[in-house]
Formats: sequence, C-alpha cells, structure tokens
Amino acid sequence: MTAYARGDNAAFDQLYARHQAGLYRFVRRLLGSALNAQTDEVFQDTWLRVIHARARWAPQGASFRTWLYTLAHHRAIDLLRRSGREIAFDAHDGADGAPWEPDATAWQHWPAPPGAAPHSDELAFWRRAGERLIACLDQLPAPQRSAFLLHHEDGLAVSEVASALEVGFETAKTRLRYAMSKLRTCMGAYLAPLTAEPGSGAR
Amino acid sequence: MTPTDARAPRADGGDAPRDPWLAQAFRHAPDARAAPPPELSARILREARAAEVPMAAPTADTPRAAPFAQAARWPWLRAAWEALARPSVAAGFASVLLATVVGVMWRDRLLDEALPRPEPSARSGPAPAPEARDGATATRPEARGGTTASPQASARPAAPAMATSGTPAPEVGAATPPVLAAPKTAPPGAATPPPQASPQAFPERAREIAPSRPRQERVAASDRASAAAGPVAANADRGGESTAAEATRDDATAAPRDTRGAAARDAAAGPAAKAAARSAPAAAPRAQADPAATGGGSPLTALLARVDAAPQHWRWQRDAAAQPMTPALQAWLQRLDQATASRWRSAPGVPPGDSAAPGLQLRRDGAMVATLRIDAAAAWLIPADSSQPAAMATLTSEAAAALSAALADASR
Repeated sequence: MTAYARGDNAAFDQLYARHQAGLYRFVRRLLGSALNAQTDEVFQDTWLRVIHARARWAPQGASFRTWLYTLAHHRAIDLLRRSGREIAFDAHDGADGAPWEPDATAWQHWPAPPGAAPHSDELAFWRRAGERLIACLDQLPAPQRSAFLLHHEDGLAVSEVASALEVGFETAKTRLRYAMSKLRTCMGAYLAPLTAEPGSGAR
Repeated sequence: MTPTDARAPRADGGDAPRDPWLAQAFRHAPDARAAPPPELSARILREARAAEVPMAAPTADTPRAAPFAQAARWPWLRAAWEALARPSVAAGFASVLLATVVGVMWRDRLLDEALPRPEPSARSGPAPAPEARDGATATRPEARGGTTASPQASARPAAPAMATSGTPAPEVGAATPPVLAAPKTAPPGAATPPPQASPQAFPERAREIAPSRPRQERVAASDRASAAAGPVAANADRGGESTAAEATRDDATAAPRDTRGAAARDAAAGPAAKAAARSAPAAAPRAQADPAATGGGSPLTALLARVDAAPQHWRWQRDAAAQPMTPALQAWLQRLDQATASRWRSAPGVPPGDSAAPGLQLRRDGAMVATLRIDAAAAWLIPADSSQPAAMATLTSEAAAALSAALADASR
C-alpha cells in the first residue's frame, strides 16, 4: 500500500489480487443471505475508499489487511443498519449476563476434520456442514458474526480482530466465544451425523 | 485424531483457538469459491489506475484537511486553521469581529440619550426671563447643554486669564447647576463660579481683532471659538454632552484628553478653522475668559458668524414657540452688530427681566445658546451658560428704540 501511495499502480494490482477473494467472502458472509445482492456494492466501495485514501495513507501500526477489513466492516454495518437487520452490538442471549454454553454432545458424532483428499461421503457431509454453517451464521448478531469471520475465515488474530472492529481485546474475545458457542450448537443440533466408523472418527 | 483432540485449544501465538470442524465446514461452504465478478474487478483496477498521484507526501490527514495538503510545509498555518475551525473558537472570533465592526460604526458618535431633544413647545407663556438661566425654570435641553457642563469646562482654561486679570469674579454666573446634571459633570470643587476676565482687557482684545474682518475669517474664528468650548459653542455643537472634553481640545496649554474626539472634530471643522486654530493657539483660553473677545471682535459678531454659517440649525424665540431662523432676523442681528460695533463690555450682572420687552432667545439644534435683549440704553447678550458673564453694549435711546422696533418687525 505504501508503494501504491507513492504512485506505483502495479502495487495496487498485487494488493487486490492478494485480498480480493477473502474480502469478498467476508463481505458476503457478513451481509448474510438477505443482503447478498449488496455484496458487490460494499466490496467496490471498500476498494474505492482504499484508492481515495492513498494520499492520506500512513501506516500507524495496523496492517493493511486489518485496515482493509475495517473499511469493509464499516461499510457493511452501515448497510445493515439501513436495512434494519443489524442487532445491537452488545446483545447477548443470556438473560442473566452469563455466557451461553452450548451442548457439545452433538460434536462427538461428527467426523474428524478431513485431510487433503476427503472421502466422497465425507465430502458430502462437509458440504452439508458448510451449507448449514452459512445458515447458522445468518442467525448470529452482526458483531459476533464479524468477529468470527475475521478470526476463523480470514485468519486475523484476536488483537487484529479487536483492532479491525475498533473494540477492546476482551470484547473481541467475548464476541468470539459467543459466536463459537452458538455456531457449535446450531451445527450440532441440525447436522445429521454420520454413522461412526472405527478408525475414521465418526460417520 | 479424534474430534475431541481436534477441538482442543491450540496455542496460536497466544491467540484464541480455531475450531477445525468449523474451518472445514467453511472450506466446503457453497460460497467458498465466491469471488468478485471480473467486470467489478476490472472497474476497481481501472479506478485505481486513474486515481491521481497525490501532490503532497502521504499523511494521516483527515479528508477535511485535504485542501491544505500543500500547507504541510507550514504546520503552524494548518494548526491555526484547525483551531479556528473549532466552534467555540470560531464563535469567539466572530463575536470579537462583530464587536469591532459595531465599535467602528459607532466611533465618535453620541448615544441617543446624549443627542439634543426636539424643541419643546413654549406655547404656555412668554419666553423665560434671563434669570431662568440658573436652571431652575429652564427647559431640559437647556439644563443639559447650557448650565451643567460648562462651569468646569471653562474653569480650567480660564485659569491663566484669571491670573492676569486679578479681578474678582462677579456672582452673575454662579448659578447652581441642575440636580440631574450635577453628579455627572461637576467635580467637588466645581461649585465655585469661574473667574471672569477683567473688563479692562476687552478693549485691548477688541483692537486686536478688527470688527471689519472678512466673513470667512469670522466663520473660522467662530469655529475656533466653538472648538475652544466657549459657552456658546460648546452648547450648540455637541448638545452639552461632552462639553468638558471639548473645552480643552484646542487648548494648547492643556494636555490632550480626548485625542480621538479632537481629531474627528478637527476633520469636521474644515481647513479654515484648523488654520485659525494653528495661528492662534493661545487665543482659546482668552476667548473663554472674555466673552467679548470671541470671534470677530465681539460676542455678537461671533454669534452672528455662527448663525450665518448654518442658519438651518438655528431657531429663535421671543414670546411664542421657537421659530426657524429667517433672513429678516439675520439682517436684524447684523444691524445690531453694526450698531453695537466694539462697544461690548462684560456686564457686571444680568439685567432684570422685563416682561414688556422679552429677550430674543437663540437656539441651536434645540439647545439654548444666548439671549439678546434691548432695553432703553443698552443691548445685552446673555449666554445660556451661566458660568459666562453677560455682555453689554451701550446704545443711544434712539438707536435702542429703532432696534426694538426692527426686532418686532423681524420677529413678526
């Protein structure tokens, strides 16, 4: 980005090639299925902000990726607010304020994470799991969803997640914990486990 | 590897563990291979290439400060601009600016309360007798402009003349100031009547200034006299509000106290008056001390010059309401001036009132300036300022009668 700010247009091509797929998925999943049609708009606006901010670019500790996802997150939250789908940032399901703990027994029947070449049956299982995960993501509040996506899908550390979401470290960590708990429960309750086979985990 | 093992927390550089099952599910999600449309990517890349290279070095400026990117070389300018852009600072600056503009607009102007009031109607009876100068029965403008501020205004410049004359002051001008104006203008020691110039000094002064001076010179001298806060001039020019300050403006021996007002008045007085003031700086104190020495040789000459200079500001009053100055009355004043010539003397006292022969009161902008009275053997000029002595010019009985008849005609 520094090279692009100095006028090297080829540097932007590299930036775009490196981050475009992950950012597009992040935006798409953060907006959810209801606002999938707006993914292109948010994605484009994010990159245009990067382009217009080249004159003011100054690395101040955060990486370009963190800043890029911050821009995308802001834009997506704006859209969610306008659509009335955003849930309050501090909304938690626990009425007493205690973290919600999922029932983890369903996970005992899942197959082990596959290796490089999963079996065809397992592939079908994981595809159904992927579909289910996307559906479960839609049920998460936007703050937890964005924290989970940044951490699990885009590989940001918790500190980077906190920076990208402009919240404290503990807040980011709490959101992650809530998101994980809800997703596990959602996935375990509705994903039909395969019959367990010896040596291959559960089937 | 069992699922339990896989879900065990993994140290990731101190980071929170990632769930391998969820990660695997993500990898097989329907949108796992989602990517921006090629045309969208092409549009973004085109925009990136089309973006102009910034002129200034990249900084962390906000978009609001972008127009000042070139001003990065002058950080103090940017800091000042940003400070001014803050609402509180901007509001304070605007207030100061507005106050400055208002102050400049009202610079050297009198407040409304200080402006002369409209001419009060005097239909109720004859003109007030000369004794009314003491303020007890005078109308309010007279009280404000005529008898209140002048005592101390003339007392200070008149001191040198008093020292040379050595003549005790008469009790004529020792009238008590009105109660309303006394606290505003009179210092503790101002109750003492001002000294009066010796009557013997008048002929000498009269010889210095010939009565046949040109009219323009008379006007200039009159302006000078008014600037010197003579009893008549101070009342008429400023309505008496700042008489004390004006009394010392052109006094070369006094320290300037109101230089701003003096500058404005000098600008308005015209070059002739300025030249006159420069040529005779010491004349002002003497003119104040001796009303007979003001203007063009006599107090009436000076008064007449002022009337001729701006007749629209003048009104006269005898036994009815005040009337605008007319050419006929101006002609009568000239006739009286010619008849009295250089015979004016400081009078030892005010003549007794005569209801049968009421005086001719002269007012400028509503403020009483002087009263002229013709009796059987003399003409009297009684300034409205009680601190100034009256002047008297002897007349023959025929001349007095003729002047009285002419006044009756002119004021008809």
